[in-house]
Amino acid sequence: MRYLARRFLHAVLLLGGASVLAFLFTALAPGNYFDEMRLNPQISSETLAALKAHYDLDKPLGVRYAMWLKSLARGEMGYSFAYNAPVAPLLAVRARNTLLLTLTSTLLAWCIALPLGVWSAEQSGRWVDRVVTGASAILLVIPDIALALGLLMIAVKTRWLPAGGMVSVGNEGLPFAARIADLARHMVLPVAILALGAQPILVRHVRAAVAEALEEGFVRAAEAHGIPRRRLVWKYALRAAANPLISLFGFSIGALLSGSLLVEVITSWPGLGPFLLEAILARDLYVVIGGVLLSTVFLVAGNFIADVLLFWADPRIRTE
Amino acid sequence: MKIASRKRHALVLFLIFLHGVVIAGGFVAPYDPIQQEREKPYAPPTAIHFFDAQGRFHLRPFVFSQRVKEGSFDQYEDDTAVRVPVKFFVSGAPYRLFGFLPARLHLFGAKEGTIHLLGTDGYGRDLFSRILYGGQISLLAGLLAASVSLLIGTIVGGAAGYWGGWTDSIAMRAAELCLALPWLYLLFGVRAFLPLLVSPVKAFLIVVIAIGALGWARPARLVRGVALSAKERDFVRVARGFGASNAYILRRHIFPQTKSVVLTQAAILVPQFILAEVTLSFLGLGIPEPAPSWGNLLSSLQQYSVLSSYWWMYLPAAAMVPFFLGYLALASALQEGSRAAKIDL
Amino acid sequence: MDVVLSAENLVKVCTARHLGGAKTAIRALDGASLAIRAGTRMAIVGASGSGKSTLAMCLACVEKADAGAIRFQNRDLAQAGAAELREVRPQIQLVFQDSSSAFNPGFTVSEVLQEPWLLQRKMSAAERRERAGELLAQVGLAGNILRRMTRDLSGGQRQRLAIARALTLKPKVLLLDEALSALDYSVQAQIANLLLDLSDRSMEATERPAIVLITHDLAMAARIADEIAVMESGKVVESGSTRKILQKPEHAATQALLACASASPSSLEKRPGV
Repeated sequence: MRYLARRFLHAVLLLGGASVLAFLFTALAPGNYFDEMRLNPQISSETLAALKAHYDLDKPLGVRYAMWLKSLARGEMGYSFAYNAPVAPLLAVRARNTLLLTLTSTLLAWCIALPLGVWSAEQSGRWVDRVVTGASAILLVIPDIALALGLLMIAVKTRWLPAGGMVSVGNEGLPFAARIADLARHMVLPVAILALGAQPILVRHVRAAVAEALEEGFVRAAEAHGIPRRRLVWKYALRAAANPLISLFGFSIGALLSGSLLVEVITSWPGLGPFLLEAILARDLYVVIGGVLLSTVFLVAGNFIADVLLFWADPRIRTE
Repeated sequence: MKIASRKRHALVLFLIFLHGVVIAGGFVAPYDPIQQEREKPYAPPTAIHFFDAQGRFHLRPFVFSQRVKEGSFDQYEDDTAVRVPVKFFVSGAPYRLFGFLPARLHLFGAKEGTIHLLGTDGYGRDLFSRILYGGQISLLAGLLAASVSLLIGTIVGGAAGYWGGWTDSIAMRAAELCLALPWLYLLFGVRAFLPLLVSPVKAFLIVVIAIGALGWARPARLVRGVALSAKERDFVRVARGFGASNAYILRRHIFPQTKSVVLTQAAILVPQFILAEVTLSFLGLGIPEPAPSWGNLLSSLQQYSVLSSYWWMYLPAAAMVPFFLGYLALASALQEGSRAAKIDL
Repeated sequence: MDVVLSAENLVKVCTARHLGGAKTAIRALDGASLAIRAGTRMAIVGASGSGKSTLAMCLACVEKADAGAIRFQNRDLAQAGAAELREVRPQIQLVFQDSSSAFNPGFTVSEVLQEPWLLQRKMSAAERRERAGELLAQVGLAGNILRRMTRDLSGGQRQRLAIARALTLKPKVLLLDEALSALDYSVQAQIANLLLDLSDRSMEATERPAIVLITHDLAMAARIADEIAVMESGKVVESGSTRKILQKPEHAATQALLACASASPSSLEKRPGV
């Protein structure tokens, strides 16, 4: 248990350090949200100064960080200049949209990659393995942007799927089931892009881990004892292959908020990615910090969850 | 082992060939990348013919002039009356070979007409030429950024592994922090917080340094591992016994051991960083117009009309694939090689 | 003959970590004392864990003892400054058991041999090449392996090369930590003969290196060494001439070692004529 407590503390400290870094970084950048306004001759400098003071932009860095931390404790994340609204609810909506996408695609990706990788490892060297490995290699070589744009082009040309966005116009008036169907149709493209893009790395790692586990002495001994093939693979080899797979799973969780930026922009999915991009370009300070931190929380949480799972799954770590 | 090294050699040659084509972009491309032809926006790729309208065969390939169809503004048709032969090694628009040698010779061209192998973009600029020139920029960005990352990573990682103690703790904590933050957002942040309206050269440098400076953590960790295990080896102890200074040991015994790790990392980082530059330029944060980069060549695809009607605008994305193939295959071949070497020992 | 290298009451404590985090202190050396005379051949024997390797590493200044003194030609090495150590350390050479990491895998045989001269002396490139050739001949290696990579050598060749490197700066003491154990029997015999040749009686005592062989193989020790020191639990419990140790062992540890020796007592006699 002490091990887990240590890892948790480590995660918290990491988050703290990341928050400082993110804050320092965005606050130190040249320019701020009100620079655009400065160019407007109709806005007097006093108004600008008053606006800045209103948003506490004139206070020193340390003070601002402390104030931000305090508001964080209350569950708020600062104020958006561009939207003139508190940051937290804005981020929440966008994050929810992103998670809808990434949770679905991650689940789908693992559901495909795990059996495929296991099967491929089992049939190592035979045509199944060759086909899977070949297909993975082809997918791996196609960069995400090419994959996303390519699939979008196909969708647009064939008109099978909507060309972007999250819901159709006029969606609110429809009955619940139709609304869900509409949402689902919009999700197909981005989820497909994300799930496909994740395949090569997942399949390759699963295959490698399981193939190595199948070579292990104790698995071969079990095989010699006559344990049926299916049980051998799923109960014995998979348990031995668990370590690297759990770490990989941790990475998948970590990327839930930050891995879909490009796909969201290309398919016009109203998620965290495009929102943060817009905020970065507009220098909307607290939105950027809040968004970056939210993603970091997931990254750090992903690692921590992997640590917990490893602790539970691997007795060797427990006795250390 | 021999098969593996032959495979590696073949991949390196393949990559050299691809890069060679791009480096010689000025020669291979028939047109200047920023030269506009406003009367021919979004022209489809020019078809190359060997048989003319009467069905006669000509050895020298030729094209027909394209003209806009009556009554439309983006539909083109061939003017089959006039045959424009494609000549090789023609003199065309001036350019600078390798960036400084002034030249006028191009690989091919159609003097009396125009030959757009891959069509044109919204301003009537030849896409084939833009892909070649854009490739120069995107590839160079990836290579330079990877060099920056590897340089920083090797120095920090080497120092951390060799000296241990505080240097190691601080370096590894910093690396962990860097890796904990979402890389792409950080990159966008860095780029966006620096001035946006700068010249293409400055933008290029900013992009390279931003990408490179953010990517040091993973190579640093790997180099640290090498340095850590190398400094415990007997041959280092022996050298120290003979009076070797730290500088000597680092130079002769530690850094040469990092070569294989650095090379493998390079093969992995270069495509990653090329992709980073392409993403940045695609979103408007990278190389600005009119300078071409594979990224900004693709940004017009964000418009529905372009996406649905002008399929050739997708080709810059396809151009990236052979390069990625080369680099990733090389990376995996290098990793195999180093694993085999470890078993040998 | 003068004592060239000695250890006095060396103590070295190592901490071992158990599963569960508890730490115990192990006394690798617990007041070990040893005197090595110039030009002699000595063997240090003992069971596993008796502290033989640790003693060798401390004598060679590769590890630092926690207490006690090491004297080289009557100079106290604990007090020595960096400059003095730089002069002294090349004179006490250590050859390891595992030759696989003894050389930089990217070095050629020639580079391995030339390194000590590059670091310590100013010799011309031609002189270095000549000396390298001589050393190779001295240890029984063919001159044509100069260009070969160290990773392409066999086990026996590597140990010979390690000995050659140790001899580059004409050391006064040559320590071999189980250096023969990983080799097959015929190669072991060849290296043993090499060691005997290196410290051949026909040379002056001050000319030839003192050879200290650390081994668990009592038969090998008897074959090579004039004196044997027996270690147990970090202490030197008995030492004396080979004949005395073999025929009249006093300490229980020595007797146990003799009892375990698989060879019959008669084969523990030394090479005739020595």
